[in-house]
Amino acid sequence: MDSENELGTVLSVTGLCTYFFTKKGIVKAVDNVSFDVRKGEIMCIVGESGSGKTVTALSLLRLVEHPGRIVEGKIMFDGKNLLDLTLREMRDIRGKKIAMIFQDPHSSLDPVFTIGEQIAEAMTAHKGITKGEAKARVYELLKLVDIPEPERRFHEYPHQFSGGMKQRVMIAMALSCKPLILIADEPTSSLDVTIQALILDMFIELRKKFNMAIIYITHDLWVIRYISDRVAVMYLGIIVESADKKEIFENPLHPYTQALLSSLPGKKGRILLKGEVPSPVNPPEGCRFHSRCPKRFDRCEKIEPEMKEVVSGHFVMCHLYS
Amino acid sequence: MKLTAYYWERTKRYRSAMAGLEFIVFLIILAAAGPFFTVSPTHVDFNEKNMPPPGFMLEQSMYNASSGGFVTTVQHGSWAHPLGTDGMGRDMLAMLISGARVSLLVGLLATGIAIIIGALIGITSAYFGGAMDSILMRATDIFMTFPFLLLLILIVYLFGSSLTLIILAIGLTGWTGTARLVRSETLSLRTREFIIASKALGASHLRIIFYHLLPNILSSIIVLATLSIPGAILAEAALSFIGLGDPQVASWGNILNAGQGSLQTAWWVTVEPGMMLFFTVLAFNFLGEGLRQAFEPGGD
Amino acid sequence: MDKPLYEQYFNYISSLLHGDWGWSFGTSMPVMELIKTHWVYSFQLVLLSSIFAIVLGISLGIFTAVKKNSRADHIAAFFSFAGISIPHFWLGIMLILIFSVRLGWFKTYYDTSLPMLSLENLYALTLPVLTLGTGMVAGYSRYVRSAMLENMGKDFVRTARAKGLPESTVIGKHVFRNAMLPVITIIMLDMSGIVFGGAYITEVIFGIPGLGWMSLKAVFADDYSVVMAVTLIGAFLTLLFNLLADIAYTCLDPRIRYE
Repeated sequence: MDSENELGTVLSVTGLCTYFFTKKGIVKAVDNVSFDVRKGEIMCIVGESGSGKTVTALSLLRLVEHPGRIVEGKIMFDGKNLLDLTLREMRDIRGKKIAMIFQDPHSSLDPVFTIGEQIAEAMTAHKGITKGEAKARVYELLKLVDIPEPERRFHEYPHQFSGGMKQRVMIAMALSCKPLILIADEPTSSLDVTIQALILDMFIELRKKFNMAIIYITHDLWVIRYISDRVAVMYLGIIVESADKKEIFENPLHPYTQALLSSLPGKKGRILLKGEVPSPVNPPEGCRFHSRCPKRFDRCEKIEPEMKEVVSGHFVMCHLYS
Repeated sequence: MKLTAYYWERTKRYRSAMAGLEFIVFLIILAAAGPFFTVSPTHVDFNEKNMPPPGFMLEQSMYNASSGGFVTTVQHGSWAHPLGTDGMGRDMLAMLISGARVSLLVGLLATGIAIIIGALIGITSAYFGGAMDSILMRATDIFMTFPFLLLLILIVYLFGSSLTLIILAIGLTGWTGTARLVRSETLSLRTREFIIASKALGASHLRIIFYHLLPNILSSIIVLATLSIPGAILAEAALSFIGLGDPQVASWGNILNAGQGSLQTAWWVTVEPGMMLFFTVLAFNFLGEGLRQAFEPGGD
Repeated sequence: MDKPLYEQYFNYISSLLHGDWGWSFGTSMPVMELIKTHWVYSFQLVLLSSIFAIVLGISLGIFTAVKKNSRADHIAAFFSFAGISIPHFWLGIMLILIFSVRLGWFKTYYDTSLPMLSLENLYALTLPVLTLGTGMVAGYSRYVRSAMLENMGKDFVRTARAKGLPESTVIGKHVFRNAMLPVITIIMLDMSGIVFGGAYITEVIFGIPGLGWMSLKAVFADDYSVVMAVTLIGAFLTLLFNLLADIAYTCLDPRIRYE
């Protein structure tokens, strides 16, 4: 597998904390999250809704909106901490070196501008190329994402495109400046299953073509098994386990991961979790998962476990392994 | 009633809304009790014309009855007329209080008429739908397209300008907004489960409308009514200001109209009623806005 | 006059269509001539006020939306509330009282002898434009602010930021263009109310001989055909602005254009 070759780290996140300061209290949406992304790999972040995976993705580009704020951490990219950059410098990263695709293609495109103009925008902003040059590039990009008749489609508006086609447009837009990292936040979850597979294939192909890393956010285990190289499992704002895909699927260590994977079809002994995900305003003390954990013991309620490398490259945050 | 208390608590959080409410209450008390403490607003005394409020003075020529000619005298303000007098020596305070009665009357009655007509048309339109809906909404559209003030002027031109007629005219022309609001709210409620359930239980149309529909759209109607009152007050004032108001009553618009001629000398005659008008309109707008925000779901 | 009513009505409509708008007994001239001499005064007042209000209202709206909940936003919100609530006829009188009577910067009455396209005329229209424009600025800035805020939370704005566009492009291009759709419609639909509401009274205050001033004189002179003519113009202008609003919306919103 690609990721097993030592390819070097392209993005390194340490101790990232993103909190939302609401009237009801501080929501610790992302709390002390650390992970690395290696060159050219597809890394999946998986978790239930509300686990903080989207906020993590948005934090990487510093796109978290009020009342949310990144309060701590380091995001090292290209020798710089993204959190130290000025907004001006950050703009040179966004869309150019790190691009992002969002969940809902229907609302993610501006309804009053043509597809062509929206794709060309990032290029004209970052590369200072003329409109004519940009247009030729847009045609290429549209072909690349399998949109037929790019010359005609260029002048059309988002409402004239289907959901799958819109997501292709978003991908073309993200690729326009040949980024090193592509963040994809559940890009297929609002699409039909048949189209999902096509888009996933496209991600795999484009990753090779552009030699870029993809951070793929999803809650869909099927998708992870299909495209990921490495997986990080999030629960209530923290990463509880991370490892290569093979390792995660064959040897899940954290009880939460085990429960999650047991829901895959064909697995025996499904583990049902009790209760609801606790509120992130007042997360449980000790291990955050203890309130629903089938294997909990005394220590879990009091002391927060530390991240531990159990097998080489396989990290887990659980008292069972310390 | 618990719900009323809940919304009251939420409205109380908006300071501007509470200030508005306080001003309105003050105005109502003033309009109700004021006439018992002031002189008649129609009492004319040319010897006391253009008397400034206390602390100001004005030099003007006055007719002297004993010498039979005009002499220049200095008119000082007096506490007998705390807000001064107008060009005919009428007491400003008494006239302003009378104006408050007129404005409140117009604001409340005209809006009441407009709301009732609008609610009837809106509910009928949405509840029965089909051809009824098309005809009523087309009529509303046509009515809406017409400039409000021009319509009022035309009505007053054709039928004369008594206060009753003006109130009726403002009410009869101001219902379009309510009709549209009530219609759209009813349309969205009509397909909700509790309405369908009571229909299935065989409740009559009237029962459904009065027990289920109206209570649910009441909050929107209250907000709209509060925000419509300034429009009605301003319409009457504008009509009176251009000289088409009821000449029998002292309304703020009438006073402004009369005072416009003596702008060079007696500034208070135009400043005072305008201030009253401004603060009254502002008070209703603040209150309406506060109510709107308080009724908005999820405003916490 | 002894013909049946429908026949009279038919004759009236057909003569209107032939350009015969009746005879004004108050001024002893054809109504058409009267309108021809007076409309331009209303037009210049409404045009200048609209430009003033649209430029200032949109700028204020954008500014307060971008600075949402800041001190400047709260102050602007207070003033726009005051602007909406202030009776413009009283505002007009107060402006005359302060700037004409006390300070003597302007004449108390509009001078019709000034050539229409001159700086003096523009200067003379300052107070009338302020009178009519203040309420408009307040209203427009509120429409623009709420439309901008509504669009700022949209997903496509996040997309634009993720592309690395400067904030000025994100707000000035993507948010603004989308916010303008409802705003332009509202501005258009308000227009006939402004011509025959605010402008009407502003003309009366400053003695500007526009359509409003003319029709009020006709009301007092019981000049029936003039009153009817102005009422008809009001209806016609309303329909016209409705049409313009539809056209503007169609031009700006691609989703409607293609349906």
